[in-house]
Amino acid sequence: MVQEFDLELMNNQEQRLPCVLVLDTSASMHGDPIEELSAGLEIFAEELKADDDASQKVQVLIVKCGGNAEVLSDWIDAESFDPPTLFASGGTPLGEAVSLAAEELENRKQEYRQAGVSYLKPWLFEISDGVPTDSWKPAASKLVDLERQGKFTTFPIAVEGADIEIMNSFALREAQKLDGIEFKKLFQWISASVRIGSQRADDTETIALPPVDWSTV
Amino acid sequence: MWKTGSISVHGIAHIDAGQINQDLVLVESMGEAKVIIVCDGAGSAPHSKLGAEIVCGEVFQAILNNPASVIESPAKHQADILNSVMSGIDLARQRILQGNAIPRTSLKLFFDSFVGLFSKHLPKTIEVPPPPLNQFAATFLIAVFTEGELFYAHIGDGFICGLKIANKQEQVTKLQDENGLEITPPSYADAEQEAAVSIEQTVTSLPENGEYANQTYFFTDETWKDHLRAGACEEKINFLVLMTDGAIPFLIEKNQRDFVLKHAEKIITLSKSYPDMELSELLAKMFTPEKIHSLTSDDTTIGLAVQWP
Repeated sequence: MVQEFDLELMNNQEQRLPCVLVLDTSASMHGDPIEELSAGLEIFAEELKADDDASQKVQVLIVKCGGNAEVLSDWIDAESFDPPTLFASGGTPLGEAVSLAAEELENRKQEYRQAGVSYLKPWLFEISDGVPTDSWKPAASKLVDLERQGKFTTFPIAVEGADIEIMNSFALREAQKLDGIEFKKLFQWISASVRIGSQRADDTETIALPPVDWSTV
Repeated sequence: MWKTGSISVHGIAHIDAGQINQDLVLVESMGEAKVIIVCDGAGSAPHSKLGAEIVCGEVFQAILNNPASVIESPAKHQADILNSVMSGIDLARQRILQGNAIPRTSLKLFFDSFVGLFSKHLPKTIEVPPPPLNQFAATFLIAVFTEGELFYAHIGDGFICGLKIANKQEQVTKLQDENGLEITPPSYADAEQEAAVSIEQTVTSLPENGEYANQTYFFTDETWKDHLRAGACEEKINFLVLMTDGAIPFLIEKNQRDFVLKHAEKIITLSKSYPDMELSELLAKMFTPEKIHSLTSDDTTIGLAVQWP
């Protein structure tokens, strides 16, 4: 797997936008929610692949948060990204999952530097429908500290049933609440946002993301 | 004697996004000395072009306030020139923060460089939008130079480099006109000679980026003094180039340090082959918008000076 990374960076020296999706796959997502989440992830992959520029620049990592926190799909260019199969089970170790995501991001930056590949500020999407079942507070606090240090930008997205206040404590920006199980619209928005983000050539923190049409807020 | 020139090409990404060319270049004489200033306005800072105009005008004026003996010996008086650069930047920041009207002089400097005759139709003052300062963010590169001395200063990305070029033999290169037909140089008999110069890069001011590819530093930053880099050279150079980051992909080697020598050689041989051609015209022929758009999507600006004994 490590060799594959190196080859990918060696063969494609394009500037990269690393993008982590932390997906809640706990038991409460069983049924329609996990199916819609999977369908949304398929759309995300298809739309990025259809964009010549983003498919070369966006790199994706999937971290699951269900029962345990685990990398389900390792870093890969969007052009080669095939969504993993998602199963709903277990609790919601969100603290563990975001810590793993932050660690993976720092490791990836190191690999970019070693390969001489420039990169944009990473994006971390955190999608959850429940209340964390692990000791999430230190992890949430650390995540916010890291975001404040400019290590990445976090987008918390609360699925129906999630505690918005808890989700807010994981990021500098407020959590957006998903309307029902509109995962397809959500992932269309994420892919559109990532495509815009990967094209940025300038310097500021502000970026005009597409209008949100998947939120109840 | 130095020949100076510049080009600034509107980036295709900014054209597509309906944004203006946010780069700026000023090439001026100050008695025996020349000055080139290049700025790259931050893409999403709404008044970055204005910020570039203001800092350009204020720094130019601050340097002009020095006695001719200082300006015409910029390396020996590098401390004085550096103080002028810093006071000019300070003044630019103050003007922006106070929301003052922009003096006519700073606008004139810019517009004279680009639209010449149209500048007389400009209003005498334009109200500067109020702070915040970061809405005016721009990088800043300057060189003040005479035949044998150079002072330079730099905030943010972009690149400054100075080359020492020695003649080995004369070379003449052909240019093509708009119809693809060769323009015959005066000394056409020498046209087939091989490249014949030795080139040494003696001045290098690298871009300063943050961790991310799209991060850099601006004169509007609180910490701008920490990111102001300056240097001087008393060794005679004969090729000086200041560029915004848009030009780096094709003017700087992959090692991110060395000027692409084939471009230096071509500019040198063309400028010798066509001594009556303005350097800006030569640059425009070498780096057409179509060619630059195929190499980078960013705004691209080059300020150039060449001299021969």
